[in-house]
Amino acid sequence: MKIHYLIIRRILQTIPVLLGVTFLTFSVSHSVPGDPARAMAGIYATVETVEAIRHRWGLDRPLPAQYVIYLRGLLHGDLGISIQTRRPVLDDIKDRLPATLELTLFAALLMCVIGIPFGIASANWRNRLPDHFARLFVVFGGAVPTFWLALILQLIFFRWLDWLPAGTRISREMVEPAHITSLYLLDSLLTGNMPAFLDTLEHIVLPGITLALTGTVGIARMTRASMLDALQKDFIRAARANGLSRKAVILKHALKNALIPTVTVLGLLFGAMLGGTFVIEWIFSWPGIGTYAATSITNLDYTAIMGVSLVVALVYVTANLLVDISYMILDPRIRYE
Amino acid sequence: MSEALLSVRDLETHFYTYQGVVQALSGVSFDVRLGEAVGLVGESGCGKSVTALSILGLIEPPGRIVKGEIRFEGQDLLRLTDRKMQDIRGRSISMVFQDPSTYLNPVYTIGNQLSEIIHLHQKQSGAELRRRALEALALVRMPDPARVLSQYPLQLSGGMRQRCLIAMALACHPSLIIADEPTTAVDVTIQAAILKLLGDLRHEMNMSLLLITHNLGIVAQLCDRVVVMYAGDIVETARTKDLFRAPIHPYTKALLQAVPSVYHDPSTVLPSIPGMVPDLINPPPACRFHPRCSQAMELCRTIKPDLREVAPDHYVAGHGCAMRCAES
Amino acid sequence: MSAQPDQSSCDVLRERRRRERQRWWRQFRYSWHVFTGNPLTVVGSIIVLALVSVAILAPLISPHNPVRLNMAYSLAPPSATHLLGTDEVGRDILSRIMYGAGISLRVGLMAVACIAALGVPIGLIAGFFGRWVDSLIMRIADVFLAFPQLVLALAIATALGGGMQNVIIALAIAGWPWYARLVRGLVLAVRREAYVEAARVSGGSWFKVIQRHILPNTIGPVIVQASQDMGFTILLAASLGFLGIGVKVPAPEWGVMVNGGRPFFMDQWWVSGFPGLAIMITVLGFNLLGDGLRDILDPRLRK
Repeated sequence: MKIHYLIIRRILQTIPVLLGVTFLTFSVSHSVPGDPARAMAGIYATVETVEAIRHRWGLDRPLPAQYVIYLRGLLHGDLGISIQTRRPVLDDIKDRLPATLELTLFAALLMCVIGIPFGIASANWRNRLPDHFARLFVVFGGAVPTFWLALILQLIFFRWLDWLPAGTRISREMVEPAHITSLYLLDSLLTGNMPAFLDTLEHIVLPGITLALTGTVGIARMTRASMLDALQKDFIRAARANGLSRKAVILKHALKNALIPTVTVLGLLFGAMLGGTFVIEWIFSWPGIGTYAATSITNLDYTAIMGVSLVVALVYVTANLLVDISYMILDPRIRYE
Repeated sequence: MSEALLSVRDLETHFYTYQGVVQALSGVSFDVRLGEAVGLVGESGCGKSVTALSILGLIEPPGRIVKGEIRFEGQDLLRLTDRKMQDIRGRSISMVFQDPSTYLNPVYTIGNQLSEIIHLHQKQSGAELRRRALEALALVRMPDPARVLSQYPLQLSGGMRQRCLIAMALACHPSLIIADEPTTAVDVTIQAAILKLLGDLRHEMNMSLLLITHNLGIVAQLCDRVVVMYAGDIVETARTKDLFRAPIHPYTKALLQAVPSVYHDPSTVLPSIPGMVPDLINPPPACRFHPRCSQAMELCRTIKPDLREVAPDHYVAGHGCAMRCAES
Repeated sequence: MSAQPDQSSCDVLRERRRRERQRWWRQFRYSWHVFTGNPLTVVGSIIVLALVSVAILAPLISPHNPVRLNMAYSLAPPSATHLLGTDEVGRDILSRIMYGAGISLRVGLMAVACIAALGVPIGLIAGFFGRWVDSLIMRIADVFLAFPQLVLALAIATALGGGMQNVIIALAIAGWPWYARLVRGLVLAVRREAYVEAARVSGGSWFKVIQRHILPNTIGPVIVQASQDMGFTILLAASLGFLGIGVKVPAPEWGVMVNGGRPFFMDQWWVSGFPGLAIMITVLGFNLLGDGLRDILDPRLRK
């Protein structure tokens, strides 16, 4: 089957899922106890105002009709009004999304750059020192609560050592880099703004490391397992018989085979990290949708919470789509089935 | 008599497992001469593949070569570092493996895997590299070689994959090719083609061939000399004609008798060798075949028989049969 | 004439049962050997046992009352009387951690049980009936899986209003697809073998087919998955507690305690530090135990 056909089919498969996602968020937001019309109107509103609001927002219509209204609103980008900020939720999210994306992508980069070599080393020196070290890391890293780790790291590196800042994205005195991609690291590099780059880097290191931990553990484990699997294969012995060095055999022949199952897990881990931002951003005062969600919980801003959940699901589905497509491109067996 | 290209002497390879030490090879000695095709035969598990891997230095833990000498082009391969062995593997000594569907890397093209070897040993690149790769494929009579270069193993048939494996082994014009059961994993029609190919190539390129198989028919067809193995020992070595016409060791005799033939009367019982293959962790003392040998003597239990020349270029390791030969 | 056959068939049955019991014993002893052979697994078991003991015995062994306010000792560092210090209203942290153990264990256990109770039957149905039922259920599962687990659990728990029960429900709704997928895969694999046989021989009671063939093969992997999920679920619940969803305030849930200590963390780090450590040790214990269980249950099943 031609690969273009496979890719398009995969993209089309996301549509029913996205539809289902909207239905799920709709259902969840409707399980909120209490009267939404009353919540929107405020405590001091009169009965007439509440009824007017109820009618205006279609809350007196039957559920299926409400869902259609909801869907139509979504297509126009209407995610409701946030109770905390009194602004459209979409605008709130638009302002904050780039910060979260920058943090998550940074963490994803760390996850691959640290996790994959860990896994390779672990498989290559199986049951020897690097392996024990890596497995210890995996065991403890998988158990540590990230919100607690964030606090501890802040304590050590900010309070005790004063090496790194405790929060926010960029120092107050610094000017934000030109908004090309809204990712400060990239923007400052693209405009050659080195002071801003270094400053941003300082700020992103701690939250990035904390966020990357779960993903790194997952990737290291997966890489180790798939490398061990690949190293057992016959063609490895054939490569050695042809005169290749051990290093070449591992890094060329085994690795590509091992990366294929590892890539499939990347999407999953990305999603886990997206969830992690809800907690970590809050602790590091990172101006992203995670902090927004956390404060929405405290303020019982249900509209905002639902809006954020929907957006996160959207990002997650897109990430998985990209991962699946790259998997299709990487593995020739899929292409030429 | 031509000189020995490869000379294996007293090769002992052990595997250290949880159940005990598997003495896979206990003193294997044989030669492969220049331009000669030697068949290494024996039943499954007798150590043929282990011998091949030992020659190439590919025995990984828990296995280890504990003793022996393997002389090739004036060097003892067992004394060489892995780096030096890497130069020899694929260039002077190549191996063609058994199963073409698992011995090719599925995520790289044939061209990639073939060129990798040529580039590694002959440092070619670019257009010259491609030319040599095509040349190697042409050698193995591959139809449409240019197309095959850009294809992945899964797109090729079993026979074509096997040809690719052979091409990869030949690409650097080695002096010795070790073929480990090259026809076991392909079906009968392809078998014939592969065998013919191997035979032709041997003469065209004046290579030596060490053919590992359990199929005596192939040996009869292709090989100049035969080496018979049993449970990690060599029991008989002779020219093919001599072995088939006048086998001396009881094991060889029994093997030849056990080959079914179109000419046999279908109502007769196919003879088989009584007893079972020995446990290599606790092998029988001295001669490993003596529990099943029709000519076993007291001596067989205490002193291990050496390979002794009992006829011109015909060596046997067995007390009873050697003595009987001497008498006759 | 009629008595003889009955007698011998009884003997045969008795002999078969005896041999089965022997085999069971042998397998048990072998599993025990594998289990205790791995030091990490032993450590995990010790942690979990210690945890359960602390949770049960908390009222007896806790040095102080976990909810009694004592402003005089507010934010006291670790000392002889308060081994792990006190929080901002003077409550002893060690005692609160001990009582918190019970909360975490209860939430973890009940959440995992609910997830399995929801996911396993759905998976059985999907795998057994196949075709469009299977596709539909898997599509629905995909929708739930389109959310990161924390996000979905968070949204649901908040919408339902918080509190322990709602947290458990939220975790169940966020977690069932994994078990459904697992069980569905197992059922599909078994169906290919046993189904044909069952349909031919017993002539059709699908209930019996499930009972005799499918369930035994499913229980093992589900238990393995559940034991490995315990740690993760406890972590998830603690994260929810940290965010302010979950138990009501005076209750000493560990996540809530970590959050409570945030305002003064830089100087009085013990208020958040120790509860977080407790979470980590607990999750560690369950993870190690879960891995050990997998080592004994999985390779056996593969036989």
